[in-house]
Amino acid sequence: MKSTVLLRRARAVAWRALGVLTAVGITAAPALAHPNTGLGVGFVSGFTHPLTGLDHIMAMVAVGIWGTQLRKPAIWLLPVTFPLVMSVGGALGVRGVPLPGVEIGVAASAAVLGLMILLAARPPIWVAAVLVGAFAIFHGYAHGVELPKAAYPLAYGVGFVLSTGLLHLTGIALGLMERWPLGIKALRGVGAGISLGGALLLFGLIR
Amino acid sequence: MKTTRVRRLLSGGIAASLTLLAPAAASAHPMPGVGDFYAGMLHPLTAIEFLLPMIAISLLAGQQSREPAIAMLFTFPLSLAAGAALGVPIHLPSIVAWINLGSMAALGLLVATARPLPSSVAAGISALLGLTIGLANGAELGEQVSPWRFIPGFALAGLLLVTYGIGCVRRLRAPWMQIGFRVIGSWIAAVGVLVLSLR
Repeated sequence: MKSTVLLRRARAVAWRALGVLTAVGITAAPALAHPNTGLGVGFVSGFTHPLTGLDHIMAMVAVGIWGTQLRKPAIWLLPVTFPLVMSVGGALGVRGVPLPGVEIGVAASAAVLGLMILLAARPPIWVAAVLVGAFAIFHGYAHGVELPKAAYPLAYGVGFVLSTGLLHLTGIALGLMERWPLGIKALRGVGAGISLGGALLLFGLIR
Repeated sequence: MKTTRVRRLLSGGIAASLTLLAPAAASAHPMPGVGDFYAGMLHPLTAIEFLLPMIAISLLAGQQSREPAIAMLFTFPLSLAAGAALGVPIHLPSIVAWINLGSMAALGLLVATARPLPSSVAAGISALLGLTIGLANGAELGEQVSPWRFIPGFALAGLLLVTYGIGCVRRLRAPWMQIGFRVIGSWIAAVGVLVLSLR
């Protein structure tokens, strides 16, 4: 009985979300046709920057999935603390503080986080936090370097924080599959894929 | 079943198009076709540097218990009005812009940690932010705009925003929604840190 109610509510939410997405698709183009503001341009360049690199996408989705595997405190600790740590990395990038091996760090983060999902590893929470935090610094740095060049840096910042957060949310949504026995296996498969993709990027076998 | 589905689709769509179309329509500065009262309501909502700290303060008010929430609900619009009235005649000191930018990081962090605050601190924070946002908005008022119409609209927008924030956070009690509000706070703080690092 309860599950049917939940299912119906989930379906209602999905339909509403579809409506919102459709409307965004329809209205986004006219809203951006304002060359003099720079706000739309800055926002879009910030929003799309994390989506242009496969390594970023895989790593951010992996953070969300791993968070659900780590269960209670981690599942909400990760999406709350990640943006804050990432913004510190972003500030380093804006300031031009030299940070060696950023691209390696970003690709390695996908490989390592994918491996954690594959193994369904549950280290103590502080180990997970330090690992994810170190990767967050690299990711933030890579986006922060672009920030001062943006048409409207504030809008760029909003766009890139928002799209990173939505990638986490995607990972958390995928991670909800963990409720079903088949879903647990599927998730570990996704982890294997992310880990393999990250490793290939790391060794320059794909671009 | 089918009609409710279509209705939901439509309501979601209309809401999203409204939010997307509104800033485009309002970004023109003298705001032709919009009276001064409504210009006052729209002005703080069309700039991200005012909108984000105001969203943060409304969520912060919602996270508080009854007494500090009510204190914030009244001090924020009143100090917005006071700040705007002061901002019309005086020249803006540069510290105001700093406080507005810093408030994004500070208030976002407070929302992310969801700490209960004593009434006096809550009222003090909202009074300070209201004053600085009011000063910044009042200083941008042109000669043609009547402050007697602009300032009430401006304060009303602040009152509505804090009311919505209190309503949302207190009504939507599901644990994942409460975490969602904290995530929004953390996003605002992250934007604030990035923008501060530009200075």
